[in-house]
Amino acid sequence: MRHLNPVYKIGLKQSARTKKTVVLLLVYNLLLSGLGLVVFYLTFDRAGRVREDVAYSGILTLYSVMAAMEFVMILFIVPASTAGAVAGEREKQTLDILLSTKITPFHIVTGKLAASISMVILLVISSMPVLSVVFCIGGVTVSALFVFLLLLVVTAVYIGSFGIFFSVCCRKTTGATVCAYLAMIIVVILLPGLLFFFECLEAFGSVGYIGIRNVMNTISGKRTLFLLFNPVISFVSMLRDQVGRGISIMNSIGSEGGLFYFLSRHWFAASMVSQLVVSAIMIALSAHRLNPTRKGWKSGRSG
Amino acid sequence: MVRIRNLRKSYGSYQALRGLTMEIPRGELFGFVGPNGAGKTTTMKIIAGLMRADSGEVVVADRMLSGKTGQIREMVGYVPDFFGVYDDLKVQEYLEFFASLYGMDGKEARRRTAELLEMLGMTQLRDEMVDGMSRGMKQKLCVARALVNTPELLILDEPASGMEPRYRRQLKELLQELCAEGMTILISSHNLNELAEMCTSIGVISKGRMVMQGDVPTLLRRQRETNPYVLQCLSFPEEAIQILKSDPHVKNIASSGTNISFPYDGTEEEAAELLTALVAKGAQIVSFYREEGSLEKMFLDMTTVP
Repeated sequence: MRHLNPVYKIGLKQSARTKKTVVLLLVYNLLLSGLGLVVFYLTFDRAGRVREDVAYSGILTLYSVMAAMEFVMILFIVPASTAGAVAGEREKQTLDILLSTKITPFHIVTGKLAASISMVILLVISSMPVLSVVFCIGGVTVSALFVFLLLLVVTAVYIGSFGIFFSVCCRKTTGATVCAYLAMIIVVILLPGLLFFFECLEAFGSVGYIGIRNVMNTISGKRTLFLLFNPVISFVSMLRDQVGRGISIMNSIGSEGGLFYFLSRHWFAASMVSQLVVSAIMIALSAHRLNPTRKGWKSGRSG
Repeated sequence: MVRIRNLRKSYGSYQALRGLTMEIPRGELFGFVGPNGAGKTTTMKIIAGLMRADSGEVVVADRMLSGKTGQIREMVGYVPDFFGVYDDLKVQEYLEFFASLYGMDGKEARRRTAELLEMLGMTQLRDEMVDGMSRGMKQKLCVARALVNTPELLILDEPASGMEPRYRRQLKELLQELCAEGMTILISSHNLNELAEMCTSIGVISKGRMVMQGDVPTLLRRQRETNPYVLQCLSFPEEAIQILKSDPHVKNIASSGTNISFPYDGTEEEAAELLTALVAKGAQIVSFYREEGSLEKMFLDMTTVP
């Protein structure tokens, strides 16, 4: 434990003491369990009574739905938990004191991010018993579950790095939280939305009508590289690899050959690496902005 | 220990420091005095590596303060003018956390924490939550926190504000003890009498410039020399007044009831001769003294806006 980041250690201790953690764990697992039971009931019990047979492939639906729910929860929890990390220190007037010690801004940023992400990982691990319901029937392997865990961790780091960046830039937690959610919405919804919009325009221009299949099949490879930075697409590509339910977008990209073919075959890994690279850049930027002796540092007026 | 040359810092159009120059020798307990907005906190933050100056030179322990302030931070302890405590930690956890920020491992951090709690008489509070502590106790905890790395330079920005007299005395004794052990201390406060009692030297800052700096006895003596003499008398005949008026060292005689006061620029021997002459002319004098110098008066004189 000697070399563990002290900011991370104390962050864990502080979050473990709050009632918020217990409530979050309870609500998260209740929601997940509830959803799991409903899907389980619909797939097996009800389906068995109505159709007098059970579609065992439905377990894959159960896995997909529960995984999607976990993924969406991560997207919603991480911006809130990271946005207050540094801004909260500023509000409590402890940031100056931290910065006056030997610890570097980089260690403060990574410690804070790791503490926030750890909470999320705790949520994910606590939900493992619920998620392991899928093993009752089969169809999903343990390695698939670990890949899913990896996706959650990378997504948490990726979205969290934006949260930390805004936490460093904004004076108040509220402002940082709003910015972090906006960034998440831009990355997750707006950018792919815009891409889809332009593809629609292009499809309309070339064939004279717009249809989802039409657009997806003719989507341009180069432009879709932006989707490497979209965690939702990463999630979908993971599901495609694991349960064979994916999107035709990969096929379209692959048809361009060369690097695009490689990316279409290894989209999940490529997107994980891309998102980690962006996270590293955001962390480095956050650490730079947190350095009080850098040029252009804006501090409150002192007497 | 600290050498500052021509330090400048602006916040937008407001100039907080306008060429501040000062020096704090090693082992001094230096009182930093000035009106609100004079630039004390800005100076302290720059020395602590928490702010970048626009221009000027800051040298701490023979090391020039530049972009990389890590080494300087290692030898500086900083107590800002606010608490900055984690309410959801126990006293011991709080101090151990800061010890770990200086690279101490668990065992070393616990040992240092125990030492500090003992030094500040807070051992019985080690398992208390910070949230439940009084304002004065939180301030003591902040001082303990700043000492966790055994700094060579301790910077305290109004550490005693809101402290009850007993804690203030304890703090004063602690700072004097640390100073005697060789630690250099820079402290700002609005309680000038307290600073005069504890500090070895004082610097008065006004509008971002150092207007006076020196050791406390010299400054007080210098200030005392400009203070008026006061005569308390039962009767003061006309002849005595004439003697007073004819003395070339006496300026602007002012009387109020049985008190007569006048600025005097002569030596003490000349003042004694004047007293003898007044008594000889029948003046019944109860007391004759020069008004004592005070840091407060000096502060007001140096920082009054014309």
